[in-house]
Amino acid sequence: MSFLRQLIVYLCAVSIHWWWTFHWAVHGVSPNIVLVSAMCVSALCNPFTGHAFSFMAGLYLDMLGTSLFGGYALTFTMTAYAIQWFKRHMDVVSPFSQSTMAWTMSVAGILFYQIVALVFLHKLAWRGWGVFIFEPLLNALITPPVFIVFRTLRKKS
Amino acid sequence: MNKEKRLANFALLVFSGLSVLCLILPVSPFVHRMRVILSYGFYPILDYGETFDYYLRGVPRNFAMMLQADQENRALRQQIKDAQIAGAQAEAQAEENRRLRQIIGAGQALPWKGMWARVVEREPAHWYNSFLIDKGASDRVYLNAAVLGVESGRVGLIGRITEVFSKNSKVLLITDELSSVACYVRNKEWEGLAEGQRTDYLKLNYMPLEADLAAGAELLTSPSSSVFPAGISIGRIASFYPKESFMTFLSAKVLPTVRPDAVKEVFILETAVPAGALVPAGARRPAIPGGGPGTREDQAAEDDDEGGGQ
Repeated sequence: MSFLRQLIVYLCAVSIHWWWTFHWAVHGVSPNIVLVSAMCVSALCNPFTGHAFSFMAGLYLDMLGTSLFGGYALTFTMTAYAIQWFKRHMDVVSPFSQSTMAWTMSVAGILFYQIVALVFLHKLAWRGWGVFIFEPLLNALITPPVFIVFRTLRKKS
Repeated sequence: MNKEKRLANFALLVFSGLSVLCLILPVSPFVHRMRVILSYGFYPILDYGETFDYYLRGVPRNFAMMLQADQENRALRQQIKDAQIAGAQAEAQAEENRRLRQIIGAGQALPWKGMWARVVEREPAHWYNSFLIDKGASDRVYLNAAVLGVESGRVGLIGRITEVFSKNSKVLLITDELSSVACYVRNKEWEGLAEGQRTDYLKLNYMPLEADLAAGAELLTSPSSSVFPAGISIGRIASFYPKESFMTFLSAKVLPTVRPDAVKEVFILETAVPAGALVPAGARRPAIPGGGPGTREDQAAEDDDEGGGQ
């Protein structure tokens, strides 16, 4: 994907994420579209593009927060690295493996963010058990269709 | 593959380093300020109340004061709008007060008993024909009761009640084509018939050819009318229709004393009720053309029917 196309995809992803969380969140739970987009880009593009997209996606979520600027950027960067590792060792083409990967990365991401919060804020940034249980499931559900969208975009470019 | 792995490691180092830098450096307050500025620029929500101070935490004092000034400015603009609306309402109420005081003053001077009613509905299609008032059979409004209006301190005939409902009544205006009022010229003995034309003016007919009339002469309801009490002002002669050789009477254009379309309140006279005109509450009776049998208005209507009008 060209830089301009990546930028447009990034803006679309953050816009959809904002719109969904603003309108459709149920008790604060909604799929993390920014994370799913970052995972898809990491799985489909080269490592640098994947890391850059993930870093920027994390930075966007950090912008929405107030206290731990850089926490999501670091978490998503780690996620991108993990996706690169997954890509080298297992299949990320079938919907089931994509969903599994998304669920694992979401849970790991939430836990990693807590560690970052403990280190830099000396307290947890816990958003509740509802988020911890349901957000990874929702991410796992939406990952295959989002993956198809990103793969189609990549093919067209 | 090794190259990709190296690239992944390099990217991890670069972006992890950047992330940690963001975490270590005190950029959170700066980010918060930028976010407040941007979000307020795009979507300045009013009335934060107590949360406004929390919203502005960490924002430079000058900028916070600017936002507060903007909030005050918006609130004051809203207050100005509200005050303008309240002023307009007060003005309308003062005007209504003035009008009501005027008609109460005029009403007290009336020699007849009656009740005041408000005009509640006018249909554009029947602008010169009729309107509805807010008094009905439950208020002891009777069929054919005379209805007066007040305009600029002048009291004049408006029409009569032709339909009575439980809470409302219909007033047939003197400007309706079917309406005719027996009248005479003030201080003269000649009598005629003022008929509606569905315009602002009435038409005066049946005045003797020898009648010495001038423009501006006032017409009053005739004592020969069984519907209207005598002496109510109807209007003034505005002009005369040209005399023709075949005409057996004079015709004139009459400007009503009170324009029926200008009144908002009317005075319903408590006149002697013709037998059979009493209507029980909630009942509706058809109009009696001309107000009753044997009146001069009926005779004129019959003449019109037979002769095809004048």
